[in-house]
Amino acid sequence: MPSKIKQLIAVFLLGLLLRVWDLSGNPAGVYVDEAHLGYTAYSLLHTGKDSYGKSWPIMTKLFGSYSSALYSYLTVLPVGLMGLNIFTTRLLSAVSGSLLVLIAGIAFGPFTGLVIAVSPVFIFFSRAAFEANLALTLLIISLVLFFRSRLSLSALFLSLSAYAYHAEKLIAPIILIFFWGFYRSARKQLLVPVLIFVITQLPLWMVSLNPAVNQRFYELSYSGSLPEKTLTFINNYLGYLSPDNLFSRPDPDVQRSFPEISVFYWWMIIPAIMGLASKKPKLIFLTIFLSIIPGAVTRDYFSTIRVLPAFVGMAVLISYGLKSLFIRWPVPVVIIIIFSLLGLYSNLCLLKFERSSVWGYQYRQLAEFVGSHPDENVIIDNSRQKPLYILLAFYNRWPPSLLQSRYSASWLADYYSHPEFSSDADIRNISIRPIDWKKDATRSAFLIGDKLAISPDQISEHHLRLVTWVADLAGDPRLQILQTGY
Amino acid sequence: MKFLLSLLLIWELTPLDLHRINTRRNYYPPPLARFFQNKFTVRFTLMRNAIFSYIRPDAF
Repeated sequence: MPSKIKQLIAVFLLGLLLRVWDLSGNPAGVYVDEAHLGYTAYSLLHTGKDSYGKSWPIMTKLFGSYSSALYSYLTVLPVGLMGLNIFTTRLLSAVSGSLLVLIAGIAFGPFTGLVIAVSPVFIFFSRAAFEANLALTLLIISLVLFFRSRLSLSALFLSLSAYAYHAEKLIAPIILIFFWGFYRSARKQLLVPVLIFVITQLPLWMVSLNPAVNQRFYELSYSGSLPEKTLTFINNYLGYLSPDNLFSRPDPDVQRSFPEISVFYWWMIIPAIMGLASKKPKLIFLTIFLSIIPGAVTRDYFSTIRVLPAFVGMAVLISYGLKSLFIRWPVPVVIIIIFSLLGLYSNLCLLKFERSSVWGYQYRQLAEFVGSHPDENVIIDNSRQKPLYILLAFYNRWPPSLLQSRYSASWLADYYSHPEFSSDADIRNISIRPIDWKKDATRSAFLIGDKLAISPDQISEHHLRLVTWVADLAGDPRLQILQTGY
Repeated sequence: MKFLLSLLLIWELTPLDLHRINTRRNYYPPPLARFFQNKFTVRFTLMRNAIFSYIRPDAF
């Protein structure tokens, strides 16, 4: 077997191990968006409809906005084979991330595969159900196929990536326009692929004409005059090229980062600079600069999830520098990679325990409690965690008809025009809403909420009995379950 | 190496940092906890953040 293939297999296995090890336990718990993706797959499998009752949707309603449905469609298979659980919900993302290692390794060499296999950003997004990670792999497959002159197939994957995540929906047409301009001499060859892209994108564009579908984008766009917006755009754009953000500080969103490592390891700035100085294809820069646009047009300062393709371009540059370093000093390079993996292990431990409340670990135990009390009134305060019902539906595998029955046929006829969302829900014996003390404290019920929702004064005033505290993995009490005296 | 170690010692650790080290040690298997959470690892993170904060093109 040629040594390059051996290296590729080794790098792929390393990437796979870092992505699937303790996949269902780390991050601990499930975030509401993940629960939505998994439960939609479960719902599609059993009823052919999403949790709102829409048959085979192009996009699914995600609480107050709409999200891509492709991830859920592809998750139907693992959920069908192994049931609805955290592992099957995250499996597609982990497989996509591992495939990315292999594809990058084949296209740019084993060193690029290695950088992607061990870089924190790619590992993090592969360890939870993120549609952005699926879209990233589809986009990179499309680009690799394009440079291998498999143009029609490339257009198909580009279109699929746009179906998978909002950011790709924005950059896929821009990439196509750039290629059209870049390959003036071969425009005839591009006609069929462009046609494939346009035809396959039509359903998505038709749906996207509804303002409600773009609600999330309106929420995230910044306000102000044109000069102010331009300055914000430039500032945001530069933020994605800042060495501080790329090599030192984690993404400010605690639900989208490791606690103490950034996009890449700190030392990777050295091979990155060397990679910049080496001979490299201009299209890598094009990929980086275009992919930053979806992140820069939103008001979040540094949102890694929206610019993942840019990090692949940067990983290619880093790998060029790393290869030069390895040729000169192989032992120090191997040592620093081993130390980086130890740092990664440390951050995986911190992620699991320190961030368990962010990832909703406490709701897993709450779902168990609720599942074991089917005949008693349960009132759960939702002041802090809004779409709580989806977590209970996910963990307790509620029949999809329970959620679907909340929406009428006339509501469904206008499915893509509903940006409104209420996080309150009355399902079976469970009421999810702020506690109404006058009503709820004077009947037999379990009242569940955090320390802010139910104060010690309220407990003594209404003679509530503490049944138990629900703690996160770090041992901090998060939810209290109380019983009324009736 | 000596230079790096002396650089690390510049960063004073606050009582909060020390408390965090102790808390975080509970998250690791006991034989590894001191290796991953100690004064040097915390000082190193502080040093890294301080050095990189000087290279921010968006801060101007």
